[in-house]
Amino acid sequence: MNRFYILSTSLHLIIFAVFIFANRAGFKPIPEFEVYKVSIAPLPQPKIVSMEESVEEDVKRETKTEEKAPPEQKAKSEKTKKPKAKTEKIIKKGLPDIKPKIYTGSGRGFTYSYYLNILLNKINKNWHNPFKDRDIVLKSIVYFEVDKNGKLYNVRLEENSGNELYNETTIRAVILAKKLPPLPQEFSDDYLKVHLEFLTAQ
Amino acid sequence: MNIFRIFLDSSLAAQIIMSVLAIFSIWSWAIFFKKLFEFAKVKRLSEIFFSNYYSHQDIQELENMGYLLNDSPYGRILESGIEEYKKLKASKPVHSFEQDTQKENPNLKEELSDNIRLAMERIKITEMSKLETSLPALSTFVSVSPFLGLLGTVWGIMVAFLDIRARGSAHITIVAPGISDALITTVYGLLVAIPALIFYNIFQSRINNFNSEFNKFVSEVFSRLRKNLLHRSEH
Repeated sequence: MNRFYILSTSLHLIIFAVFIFANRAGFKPIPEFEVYKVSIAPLPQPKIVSMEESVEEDVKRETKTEEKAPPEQKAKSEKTKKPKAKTEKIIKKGLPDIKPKIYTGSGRGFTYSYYLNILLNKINKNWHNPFKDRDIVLKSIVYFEVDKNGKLYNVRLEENSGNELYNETTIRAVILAKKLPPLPQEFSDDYLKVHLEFLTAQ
Repeated sequence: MNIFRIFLDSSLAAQIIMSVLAIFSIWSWAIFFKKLFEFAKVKRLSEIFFSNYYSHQDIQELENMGYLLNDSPYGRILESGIEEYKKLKASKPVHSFEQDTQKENPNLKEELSDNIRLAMERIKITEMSKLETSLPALSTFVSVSPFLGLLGTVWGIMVAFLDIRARGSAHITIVAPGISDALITTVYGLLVAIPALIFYNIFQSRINNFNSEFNKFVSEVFSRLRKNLLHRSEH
């Protein structure tokens, strides 16, 4: 029986060898694909900014608009001007792992919770948390602005979670939302600033 | 398609399954070569045996066929028949057959001659079981290999789905490796099972042929020896 085993093993080795040599000899082998590391979505370079800086930026913008405005309006605006400090209004309602902090352009409160629900639902639909049901706690904050027409712009990472994949998924979720419904007509400001906190479920 | 690369890139479970299938494949081909060699040998010796068998008319001459009786299965069947025939002749004097049959048992001649048939049948069964060796193993490979391949497939798909769950994405780059792992084991399983099934059917049909040939030979030798035995007893 041994010689038959040897014969059979030899036959198998010959078949393997034929396969390997046929592959190397150029019998139209399947092209090998090169692997590139790519981002999940085309993203702007994540820029980490602190909350304080973003508030300062708001202030600068306001002062610029005031400078451009005619002197009469300027006087008006001075009258109606409210204290600059702490213009934010934190809305705690929302989905369990997405918490928005809303800033209005003028500093007035944003009281339209139905609009926020639409915003959160749309972003939450796009967000696939890669660390769901895991014991990892990650938090990232994405900053973006919504104009009167509901268009999102100036999307950037405000607080780095420390995990690249997690950061990308959060930014992607916001970018994919693309356009929201127009801001409420009653809302007089030109844009809405949103600091969206993404937190892994605990 | 590089076989070794596919093997190395596969998961551990797929590698184990492919290794087992490779062993099965080597084993089944070894059985194929062994049986091919055995059947060719039996055929060659049988041809030599029959060329001598038909040229010898007398029982005494058949006894002197020497090595041919031991080498071929037909020879061994004939040898056992002749042995029994000789035993019968030695144990019972020729004249007593006549007396026995007439007085006590009229079927005694038939019963005694049946011993020759039974002796040849016994050897025939032994020869058949020799020819059938290793066929159960071949049959096992035929039935087990596709199932092993299928096991690898199910395992690979399961792993692929677990990956989807863990990464939270059903992108092709996540699903494809698991699926290809899964499918390659089925391919290997079928590559082992299909040749094994062909070999099994070929050998099974040959064995059936041998069985009918042996039966034919047994009845031919039996009638010849019986005729000889009865002919002698009448004189």
